[in-house]
Amino acid sequence: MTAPQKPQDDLLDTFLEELLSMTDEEVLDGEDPAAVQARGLAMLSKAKQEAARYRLAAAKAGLAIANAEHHSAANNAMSGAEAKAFLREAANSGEYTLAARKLEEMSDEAAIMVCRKLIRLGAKPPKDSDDP
Amino acid sequence: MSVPKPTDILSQSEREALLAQMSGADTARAESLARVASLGVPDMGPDDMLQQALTDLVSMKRVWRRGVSVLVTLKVAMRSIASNSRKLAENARRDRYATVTTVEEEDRENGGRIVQTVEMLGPEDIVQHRQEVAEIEKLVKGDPDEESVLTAWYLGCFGTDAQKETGLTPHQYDAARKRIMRKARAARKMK
Repeated sequence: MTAPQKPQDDLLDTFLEELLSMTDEEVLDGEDPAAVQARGLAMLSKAKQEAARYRLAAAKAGLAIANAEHHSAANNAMSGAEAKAFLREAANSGEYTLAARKLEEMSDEAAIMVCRKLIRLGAKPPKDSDDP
Repeated sequence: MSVPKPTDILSQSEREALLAQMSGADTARAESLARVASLGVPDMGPDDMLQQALTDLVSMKRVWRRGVSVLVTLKVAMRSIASNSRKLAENARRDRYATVTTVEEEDRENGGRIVQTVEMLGPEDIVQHRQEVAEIEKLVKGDPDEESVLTAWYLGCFGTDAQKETGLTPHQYDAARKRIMRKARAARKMK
C-alpha cells in the first residue's frame, strides 16, 4: 500500500509539471545553459565515484562473507585426524611451537579446538591446503 | 503495485548515459525540484538532495523503470530521500523522550525488552511537523500574487490552468512564478 502523500509531495508533482510547462529560457532565468550543464555533470561524476566506492565496499563485504563461510565449512567438517595432521604440519613449519608428545596425547576434540584457535589467529585451515 | 521485471529496470550504464545527456535547462529543472524537495528536510540542502538522488540512481540503490523520464525519476528519488530524512529526524527526536515502562514486567522476565515511547508533542512540535509547508509559505508571504500561485500549485494546477485558477493575467502569473523561483534560489544559498 502506498503511504498517503503529504502536501509537499503533491506540490512536488505540480511543481515538476510547472517546470516542464516553462520554456528552457524561463527555467534558466538568465543562467548560461552550458554552465548549468557542467554543474550537473560535475555532480554526476561525483555520484559515479560514490557508486564505485559502494560497489567496492559491497565486494569486500561479499568476499569477507565468502571467506568466513569457506573457513567455517572447513572448520565444521574437520576430523580429529585432520586436526592433528594440521597441527603437526604447523609445528613443523616453525611458526608454532607444539611438543610432538603432547600432540599424541591430545584427544581429537582438543586437537580440533587448538586447530580452530590457530585458524582464528590466521592459520590456513587443513582443507585449504588441497586447494589449487 | 507490481514488482518490475529485471528487463524493466535501467542498467547502470543506461542510467549514466541518460543523466549525462541532460541539457542545461533540464539540469536547472532538477535543481529547482531539489530546492522544493529539500525544504523542511533537516541537515540537507538542495545540492545535497540532488547529489544523493544522483548517487542513489547511479549506484542502483533506487529503481529506475524503463521509459520513465530522468526528471520524473529524480523527483521520485528526491521525494523518497526527503521522506526518509524526515522520518529519521522524527524518530531521533522521539527516542530522546523515550521512557521505560514498568507495567509489563512479566514480559521482560520472559526475555522481552519492553520500551514504550512517550511522545511529548506540544503545539510547537505540531507546527514543526509541518515545517516543510511553512518554509514554502514563508517564501511567498506578503505577495498576494505569489500566494495565489502557490495555492494553485497546492491544488495540483500548473501552467495555463494555474494561471486561470489564480485569476492573474498571463504576464502577472509569469512574473509571480519567476519571483517564487528566485526566492527559492536565494533560500537555497542561505541554507
